Amino acid sequence: MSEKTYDAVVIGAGNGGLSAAAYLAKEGKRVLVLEKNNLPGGCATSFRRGRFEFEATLHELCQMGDGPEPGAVRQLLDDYGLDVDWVPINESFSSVNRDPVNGFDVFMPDGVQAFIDAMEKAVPGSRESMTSVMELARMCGDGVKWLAGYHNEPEGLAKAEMLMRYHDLMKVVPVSTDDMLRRLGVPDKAREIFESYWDYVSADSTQMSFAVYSFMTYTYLSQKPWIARKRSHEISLAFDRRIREMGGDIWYRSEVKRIDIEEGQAKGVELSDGRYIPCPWIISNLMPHVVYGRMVEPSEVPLREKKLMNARIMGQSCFTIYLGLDASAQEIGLKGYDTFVRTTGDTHQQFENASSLETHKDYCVTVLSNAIQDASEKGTCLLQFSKFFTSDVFKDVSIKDYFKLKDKIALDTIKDYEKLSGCDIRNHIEEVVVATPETWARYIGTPQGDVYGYVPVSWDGMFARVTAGHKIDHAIRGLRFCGGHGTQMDGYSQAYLSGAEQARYTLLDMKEAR
Amino acid sequence: MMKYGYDKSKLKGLGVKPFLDMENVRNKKIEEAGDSLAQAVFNSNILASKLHPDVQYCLVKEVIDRGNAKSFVLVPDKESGTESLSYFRAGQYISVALEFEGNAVCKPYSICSSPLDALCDDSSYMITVERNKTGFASDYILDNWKPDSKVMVSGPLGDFYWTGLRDSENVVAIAGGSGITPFYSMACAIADGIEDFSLTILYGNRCFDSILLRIELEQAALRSRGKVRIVNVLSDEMRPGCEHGFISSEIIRKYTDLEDCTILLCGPRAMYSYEDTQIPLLGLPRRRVRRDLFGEYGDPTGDSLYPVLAKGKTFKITVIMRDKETVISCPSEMTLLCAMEKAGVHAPSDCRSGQCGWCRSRLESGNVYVPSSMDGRRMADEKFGWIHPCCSYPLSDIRLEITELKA
Repeated sequence: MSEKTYDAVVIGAGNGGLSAAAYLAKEGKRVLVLEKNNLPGGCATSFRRGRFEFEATLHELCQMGDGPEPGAVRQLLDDYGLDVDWVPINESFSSVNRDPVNGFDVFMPDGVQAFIDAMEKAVPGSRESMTSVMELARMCGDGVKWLAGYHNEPEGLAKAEMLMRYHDLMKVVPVSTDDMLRRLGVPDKAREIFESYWDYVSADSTQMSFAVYSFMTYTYLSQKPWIARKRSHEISLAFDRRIREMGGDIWYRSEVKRIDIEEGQAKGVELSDGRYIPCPWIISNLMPHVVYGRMVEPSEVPLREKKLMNARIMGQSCFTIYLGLDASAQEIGLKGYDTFVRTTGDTHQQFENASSLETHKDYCVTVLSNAIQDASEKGTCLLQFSKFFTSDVFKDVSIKDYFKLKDKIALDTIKDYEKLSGCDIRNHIEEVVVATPETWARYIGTPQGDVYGYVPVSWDGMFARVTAGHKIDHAIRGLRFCGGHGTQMDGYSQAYLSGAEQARYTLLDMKEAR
Repeated sequence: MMKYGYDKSKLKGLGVKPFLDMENVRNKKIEEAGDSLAQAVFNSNILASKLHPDVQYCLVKEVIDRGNAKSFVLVPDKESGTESLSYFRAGQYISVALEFEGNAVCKPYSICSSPLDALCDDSSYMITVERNKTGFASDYILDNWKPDSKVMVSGPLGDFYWTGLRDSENVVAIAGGSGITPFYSMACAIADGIEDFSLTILYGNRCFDSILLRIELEQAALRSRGKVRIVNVLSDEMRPGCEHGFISSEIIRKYTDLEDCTILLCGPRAMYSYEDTQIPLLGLPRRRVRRDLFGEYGDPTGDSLYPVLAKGKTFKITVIMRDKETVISCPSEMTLLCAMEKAGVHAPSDCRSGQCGWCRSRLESGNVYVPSSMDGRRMADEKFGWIHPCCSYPLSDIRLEITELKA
């Protein structure tokens, strides 16, 4: 029996890998997805405990929307034909800054005008500058959309057109969020509130491009954040089904041990059980650190790739506390979907504080039951705390201390929020699961349990990466990278876009090679 | 030209040059970086592989005869690549992989020793296996495992353990027969100072002589500085110092501060059925009562919801593994997992109770019956046709894609 051959192999069924595979399959390529876990999604998954099903990751899809003008991500996922019951989140966020002098405690609604109004109420005198911020953000959004029309590679006349139409976008891309907000005269408190989302993009506001951050925020406000009704596992399984329907194969518990590279050209992959799959076109959803560090012959690692890895900073690792409570969110008094709790409004200080167990007092609180009414049985609710660490805080943790440490961090966080919110949580805990960087390392295999790829610092931001994503960063023929560590930065939406982008480049590579 | 309502004067002094220079700046940054191969494995990754190995190769070091049961002390089989056994939380189980007479089976057994024993230099686990009527795998272990037998087990699994985040510091354990094993591990953990809660074990047995691990339990209680207490409850024997009868709500009340307690249960199905009539009488909230794995469901064809038309039939099951297919048969009263195991198909499984999801497989076509009390699937699994074969019974011919068990 002759074995089936594949046009392309995708390593890892995370968000980026699934999107890449769906894109290729939709273009008629025979694609094989290889995944080491027994289910797809990477971070986009769920798990059951008792009568609860927990969402693994705090996420809000961006660039979605609905109606006649959907966002780019909604368009992409609809083009794939995913069967997902999408649910909008009808708020932006709540943000609490416990600084005794400059603190705040605000609820920010969705909708651009409502957001500006709420900001004016919280920070009188902010309306004019915030309106400017939103208008600049809208311009950035239009520019991003226009660029996407040229697949982010405007050439010739288009390049000239960009200089004409979007020179202001070009001006604000290299400016940090912090600098731009100050320049626009946004009052400090309003600036800090506006910057609350930074945890989602892993670079604090002094490092994060204004264009990227404001575009993301504007899109959340104008198109709402979206989630899947049956948890993100629904998105991942919808991908699984569509990839198969379009002729692709997915093999679970099939870990790739080695990527075969000969003289700068990908040749195939070898599974941990020794099976070899020849294929010259490979898309890796795994980080370059993992691929080059564990799966490629060291002599085949290009010099530039080594330098690129060293130049970059590993993204945040994650600590998550999942609680199934035996009373409703209303009974307990849990408000909102997503609340950021910080000890300072200074995002760079937050970034610094998050680099050690002792100083990291901040967390996000997510109440899924406030977004999806029947997320769990009547009279119960789902509550989740997430902490993002900006360095390898588990580096000295021994096996013997591990369980105690994770319970302690969880207990401190829960108690802290009880004190802040006045809610009784501990007397309602029916199920609890605590995930640490070790847990993430276990399931997604990243160094340190990194969930955010590489920090998009000023020199390595989204625009710079996107520009390099086709040719400049393409180091090994037949091997491309996609996912949260890709050109589009971290986050579900960005990973889906990244998968599509690298699949499209692979198709161009295939054509070129003919 | 689009109109935007921002104050253009605020962009004064900003040019497009930094944007056009972006790539050069980035290339320069990369050029300046070191050329060593970056570290890819960190402590978190090492902890992950040590705490959650896919497989642990063990040798049987010692067999302890306990009448109707035997304890097996397992040590790492270094020759096969296992250097030490994984640390665990007292109450967790391991899944033991067995191959015999054409069967390929995985069976869960609670680790019946202190977590500290796994951590020390002579790393070891103990499991205690009881001879019972239905357990052909247990019989195989009891009859065949000898000192130096090679054994393959999973990493530690399950969430039947105490945590102060959720549970009261006053724990009342209700055990029956070999259901004592996770509680013995907890008692040892308390005696060894790894865990800190008070544990009263109400241990049901038929008679005094059939009490498993009786002396070991007493020793752990002695070492525990008063934290562990054993109360033997004998159904068929009156004996001073022991309670008589089943572990009824009255007996539980006698040893429990109902205002502040967590009740943990582990035992045979008959005990669970009985406790289902007793525990509700205590009026405790659901979060205060936790049960270990239920175990296999058995013949479902008598269930009120079971479709009678399928009863007594045998169905054709096409098992898909990657690009291979195997055809086997499965009678209606047997789970798809058991059918695969009996046919020697290496199907993954751990808990055999519908909960852990390790056997999760894709139902390509056909229908199954899943008893509602066993259905631990995710919502989207149900939507997209994924099932847990350990608690799924065929109602028609079936095409099932499983994930291959790693060698």
